[in-house]
This record gives sequence, structure tokens and C-alpha cells, in this order.
Amino acid sequence: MTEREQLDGRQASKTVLVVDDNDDLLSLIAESLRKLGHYTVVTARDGAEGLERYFEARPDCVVIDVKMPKLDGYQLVKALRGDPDSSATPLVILTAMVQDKDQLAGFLSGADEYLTKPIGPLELVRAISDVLGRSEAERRQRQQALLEHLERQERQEQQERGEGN
Amino acid sequence: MTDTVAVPPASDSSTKPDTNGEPEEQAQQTQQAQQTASDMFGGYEWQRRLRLAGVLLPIFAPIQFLLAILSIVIVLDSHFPPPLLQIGIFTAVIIALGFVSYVAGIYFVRKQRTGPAILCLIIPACATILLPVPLYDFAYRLSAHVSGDPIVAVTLNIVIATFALLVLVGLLASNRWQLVGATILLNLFTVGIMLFALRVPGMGTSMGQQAQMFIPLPLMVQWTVAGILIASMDVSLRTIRELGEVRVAYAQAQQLDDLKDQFITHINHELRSPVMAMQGHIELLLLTGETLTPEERTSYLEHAKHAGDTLSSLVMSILDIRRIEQEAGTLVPEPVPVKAAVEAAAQLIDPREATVSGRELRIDIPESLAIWGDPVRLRQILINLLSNAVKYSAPETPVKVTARLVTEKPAASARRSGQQSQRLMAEITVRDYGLGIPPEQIPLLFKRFVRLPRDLASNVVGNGLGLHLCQLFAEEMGGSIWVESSGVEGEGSTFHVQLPLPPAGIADVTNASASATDGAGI
Repeated sequence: MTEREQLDGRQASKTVLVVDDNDDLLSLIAESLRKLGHYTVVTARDGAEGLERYFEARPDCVVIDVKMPKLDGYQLVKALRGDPDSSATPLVILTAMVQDKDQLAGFLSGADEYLTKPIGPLELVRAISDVLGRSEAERRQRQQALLEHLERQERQEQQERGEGN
Repeated sequence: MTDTVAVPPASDSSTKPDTNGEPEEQAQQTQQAQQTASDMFGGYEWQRRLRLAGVLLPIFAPIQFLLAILSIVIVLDSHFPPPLLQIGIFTAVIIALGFVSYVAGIYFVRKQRTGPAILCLIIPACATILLPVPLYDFAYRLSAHVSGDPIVAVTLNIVIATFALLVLVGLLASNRWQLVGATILLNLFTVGIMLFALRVPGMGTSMGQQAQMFIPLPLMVQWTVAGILIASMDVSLRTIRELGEVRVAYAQAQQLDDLKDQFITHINHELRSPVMAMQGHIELLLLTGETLTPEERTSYLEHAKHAGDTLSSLVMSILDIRRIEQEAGTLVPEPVPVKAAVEAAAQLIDPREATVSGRELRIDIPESLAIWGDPVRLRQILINLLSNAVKYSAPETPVKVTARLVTEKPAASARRSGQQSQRLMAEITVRDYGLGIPPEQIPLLFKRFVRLPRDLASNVVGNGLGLHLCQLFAEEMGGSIWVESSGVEGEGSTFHVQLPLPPAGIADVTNASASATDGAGI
């Protein structure tokens, strides 16, 4: 069974909200999730619209870009995490910001997964599928482990910089 | 005459202009690096003198304190007759005040105030060294009881002390003329006290006759000391100046390095999105091709193409800068009608950036007005300015483009010719009513490799090179570009581009200029 066939058989009928201000990417992510993952996809072009769409569509997962007008990705994640109605929803950041500090900020804001652009359609759908396949407890545990790893890494880098000076 | 052209609006009017700029910390770096070598040199000099005062004052202060105590003891113990007693008391007070001045100098050094610190060092040193002889002379004149015997010894000691004073002035002077002035004053002082001392009655006629021999010697020594100090000062100042230049060059290189790092980070970010969109759509097409409708296939291809165009535009912007810098001077100018160029540029604004509603573009340009330049470069300038104006102002507000004949901006004229000869130019003005640009960030707008903090914090799409390219193009064509903005929301920004007019010898251009002059005052 190919990876695509495996993906086809999983998570069908789930709804994913995609929030990105880049039309080309919004189209790509939405079409990838529809065609390869058979998800129902709802889209929004900025953070504020994303928040609004969330409470209209009640998606099972949200894919969020970081640099967006009105409400950026981190703010949107925080807003969704801060609301008891949305706090348990898997949140995936998908951004072109690739530095460790950005990733740390993403996890600190409450994201379950941090994906960096460019990412292929299959890989993206697989990542969303994986996130949806985890229980909330598993996601929290993974998030915590990643956070600790990133913080440890940053401390080491700071230490090395200090020694270098 | 006013034409109205519908231009597609921006997708988001809440963001501010996509301008080249930089964060606050980089603005500071820019300002620092823009310091001239002479400013840097001044800074070094200021620090050198402050440090010297910081070393000398703590040495002089305890010595002066002991001297003050000694003077007081002598006055109390020696039972001087009047007026010597008064002179002694006055001298002790001067010396004690000198101590106070040194302490004040130490305070000023700690406060980093070079001028007051140096004055607090020089004045008491001069007073302590130079005052005793005039005071003694004064006492001598007042009282017959004062013997003239010790005056020669005192005078010679003081003359020797003037050398120390000269060295002190030489070390603390900021230029050679201060030292020359001090040497002349000390010469006069020396001649004065020696003439007086050697001609005091009771000194003997032989001493008076030998004055001609005694006097030139200290003067020669003073000038020798001054000469050595001036030579030393010249060498050290040159070294400091060279160090200052090296430091400026280093700061500029470091700034450029930081800006390049930031630029690379920014471009890295900007490249990832179109790369993903282009590759992703093609991959999706390959994966799902057989199940797609023709409309879906077309849509995927269009998105991939658009992403490819964005990518290409980004790369071309970067390459353009290198090319323009390398090809400077290779431009072959021709007459370019301004109104047609503006209308063409308006049509070339990317419609994907305008998805909200229609936008009114008011063009007010004489038909016959032309510039002497390159049509492609002019169009690129206009596309960039119009695109910024449309993208970063509210959809319901207009964008106005006007053009007229003006006298060349004085600064541009001076930069071009090195003098204030001003010529007639065509000035194109693009005015929007958006959020504007904070005045303090305006100087950063046209810089390469920099972005404004608000752009970095927002989702503003852009490579941060647009206005830098506009400036390169304008200057390449012999013109200039600048912006006016109060930074107040709703008042927007006004970009001005001044470009040369075609030479008078070209027939259609002559007509254009004449007509444009008639139509000026738009």
C-alpha cells in the first residue's frame, strides 16, 4: 500500500482550518488536504478571520501561518489555546520562519506541531494526519518534550556564545 | 486635465508601506556607521584628553593639598612683616583653591565632561606656578622691608617651572595653535619677570647688564619644548585620525555584514513560500492529475506560475542591484512620455495584490511632458511607487499621480554638479492617503538590505529592495527620489521623483517641454 493510499484511508471526514495570507499557499495546502487527505477544508486569510472561522466551523485541526495581518500566528494559537472551547484542538504552525528561536516561540505559544516551509503535499498531509492521530495527552507530552529539547539547546548555545566571548 | 484609471486594490489595507527600512537597533547602527572620520577623530581626542585629565588630577590633587598645608604652616610660623604676610596668606589661599579645583576636576572627569575637567587642571597649575613672582614683585614695590635678594632665585625657579606648564598645556591642547599661543604667553611672562628680577635695585649692575644673556635662553628652551610637543602632537593626531578612519571603516563593514545577515534571513523567508507553492502545486498535479477537472489543473498551474513569477521577480530584484551597480553609466537615454508610462505602470500592478475592491487612481499629467531616460527603468519606478501606494492605503482613498516642470531640487543639483546650478526637471509625484511613514524612519527608506521594524513585524510581502532600486534607477537617469510624510494616519505619503528633461535639440521634446510648462501648476 502506497503512502497516499494509507493517507486516503485515515482521518476522512475530519475538518481542517487553514489560515494563511498567501493565496498560492492557501490553495496548495487546502488542495493537498482535500485531494490527498480527504479532509474538509475551511480557509482564512488572516488571524482574525481564522479565529472567526474556527468558531463557525469547529475544525478538528488548525494549520496556521505565522506572519499574517491583524492577528499573527502566535497570537492566534494563544487565543485558541486560551479559550476552553478551542483549547484541546490540535494546532499546527506552518511557517517560513526556520530559526530555533521561532520554533521555540511557536511551541511556547501552544502549538502542537511546528512545520517549516517548503514542505511537500504528501509530507504535509502525513504530518496533519499524525497530529490528528495523537490523543490530547500524547500531544501535550510531545509538546513538552520538544519544548524542553529546544530550551536545552538554546541554553547550550548561549553557554557556547558566552565561552566564545 | 484629470484622468481616472481603475486600479485593483490591495488585499490588506491595514499594513503600512512596504519600504526598505530597519529595526530600531539597526537604525542606531546606521547612524553610528554614518559618523564621519572627523567625528570619530573628535571622539578619540575627547577621550584622550579626558583620560589624561583623569590620570593627572589624582596626582596633582594630593601634591597641591600638601603644598597648601605647607603654605599655611609657613605663613603661621614665619612671622612675615606686612605686606609679605598678606601676600603669603593670599598665596596659601590660591594654593588651597587649586586643591579644591583639582577635586572638582576629578568630579568632572567622572561625569565625562572634558572641558571643565581640563580647565580645573590648567587654571590652578598656572596660578600655582605663575602667581608667586608677580605677588612677590608686588610686595617688593609696596614695602622697602622686602629684600630683593631672593627674587632672582625665585624667578629662575619659576622660569624652570614654566617648562612643566608648557608640557602640561601641550598634552592637554587639542590643536597646535593652543600650544603656540601658550608658548607666546609664557615667553612674555618669562621676559617680564626676568627683566623685573634682574633690574631690582640691589641686584648689582652686572646682573642687570647680563639680562640680555639670561633672557633668550629660557625662551629658546620654551620654543624647543613647544616644537617637540607640536611634532609629537602631529604624529599622535595623525595616528588617532587614521585609527578613527579604520574604526569608521570597521563599523561600516560590520553594519553591512549585519544588514546582509538580516537580508539573507529575510530573503530566505521570502523564498520559501513561492518555492513551496510552485513545487507543491506541480507535485500535487503529478499525484492527482488523473482525478482533476480541467479547471483544477488550470488553477494549479496558474498558482504554480504565479509562485514562479514571484520567485523570479524576487531573484531579479536581487540581481538587478548587482547589474545596476556594475552597469552604471551604460544607460542610453531617450525621450519617455510620462503620462503613457504612468498609465502603463498602473496596468502592470499585480492584480493578485488587489482583491478587495476597485481603486481610484487620479492621473494629472500634461500629455506632452517627457523625461530623458530609460522607459523600462521609469516604468519600474512607477510600478513600485504605485504598488506601494495602492497596497498600503485604505481601499476607499484615492492615489494621485501628478507631474510638472520644476527647478531641480538644490541638494540633488549640488550633488550632481558640485555647485548650485539648478536645471529644469520633470517632477512626478505619487501621493497616497494611507498610514504614512514615521519621519524618523524616512532616511532609512531607500537603503539596501534593511526593512522597517513594522514591516518585519507584519506580514508585509516584499523583498525590501523596491525603493532602493527606485533610487538607483532615478540616480542612474540623472534624477533623484525622496519622500515626504508626517507619519500621521490618513495623511499618507508623497513620493517625488525628479528626472531630467530631454535635451532642447530634440524636436518633439522641445514641444513637450513647452507644453508642459504651459500645463504646470497641476
